[in-house]
Amino acid sequence: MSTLVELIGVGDGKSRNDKLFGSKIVNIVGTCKLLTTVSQEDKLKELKYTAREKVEVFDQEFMPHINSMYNFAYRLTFDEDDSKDLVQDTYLKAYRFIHSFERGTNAKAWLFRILKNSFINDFRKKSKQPAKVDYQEVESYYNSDDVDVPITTDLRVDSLKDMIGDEITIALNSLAVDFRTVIILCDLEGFTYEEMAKILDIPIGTVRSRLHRARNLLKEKLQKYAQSMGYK
Amino acid sequence: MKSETTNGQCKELDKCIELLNLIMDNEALPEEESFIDQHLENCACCLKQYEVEKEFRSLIKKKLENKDVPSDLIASIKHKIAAAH
Repeated sequence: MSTLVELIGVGDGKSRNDKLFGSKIVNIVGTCKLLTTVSQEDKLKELKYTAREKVEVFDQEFMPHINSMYNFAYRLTFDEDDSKDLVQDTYLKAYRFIHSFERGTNAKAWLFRILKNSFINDFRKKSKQPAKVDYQEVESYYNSDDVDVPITTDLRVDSLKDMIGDEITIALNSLAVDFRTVIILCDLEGFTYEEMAKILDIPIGTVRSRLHRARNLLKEKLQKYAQSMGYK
Repeated sequence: MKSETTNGQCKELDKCIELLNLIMDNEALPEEESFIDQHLENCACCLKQYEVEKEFRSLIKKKLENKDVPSDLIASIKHKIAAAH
């Protein structure tokens, strides 16, 4: 069961986050025990979905998010093959643990959480390259909530308007992975703080402060870029 | 509310930037929202910053490049799932 717990991250059922996906670990454990003794017909009743319903849930609730999932994977790994592996792995896990998904709840957040966990638990370990993290940056900003964040006050609306996709992409990719991730989840994918807390396994207060720091860092990088390009 | 500034920069700029973003994220408490609304009436620095924050977010949303999903990825996932049965 450890894999399942790790995958869906079920807590004590009391926190708001535990209710978000409607996961019920007790029922799943009970189901697994029962399966050894019950008949085929009872099995179907015990499991949440029939084989046909599994296909339905997979196609209707999981597959529509593949574009966001692939781009999230790419922004974590910067590599097309690695992104494909990560997304495929995520979808196979989602299928394997489909009974812990409650239909009509937030499939996208559920999938993002699995992908994020796969990236941390499997991918980073397997990867030949060390994780592309700017440790100095992490050290400076990560360990304290009280640290003074540089505020870029010279960044102008006009220089932002002049920027092209490449510049913003390079600036975002140069952020440490934890800062990059909150910007992607919030500003790009539109997840709420509560959903982000669940996806990342961190308290909402940490989501809030990390996002604030991430945005300030990104603005600082864009400001440096604007300066170097002579934007006024 | 009188705005506290030094050389035209709001003394609470960092706090205000955080609150502005909370509002734009739809995560601010009603009292945080009314604090900023009152503050912006008197603080030109933060009002200017609000424009920067808005443009910054729109830059991320509109100009970050998205990759197309490789054509063989969906087929490969479906194939592996069918094989798992």
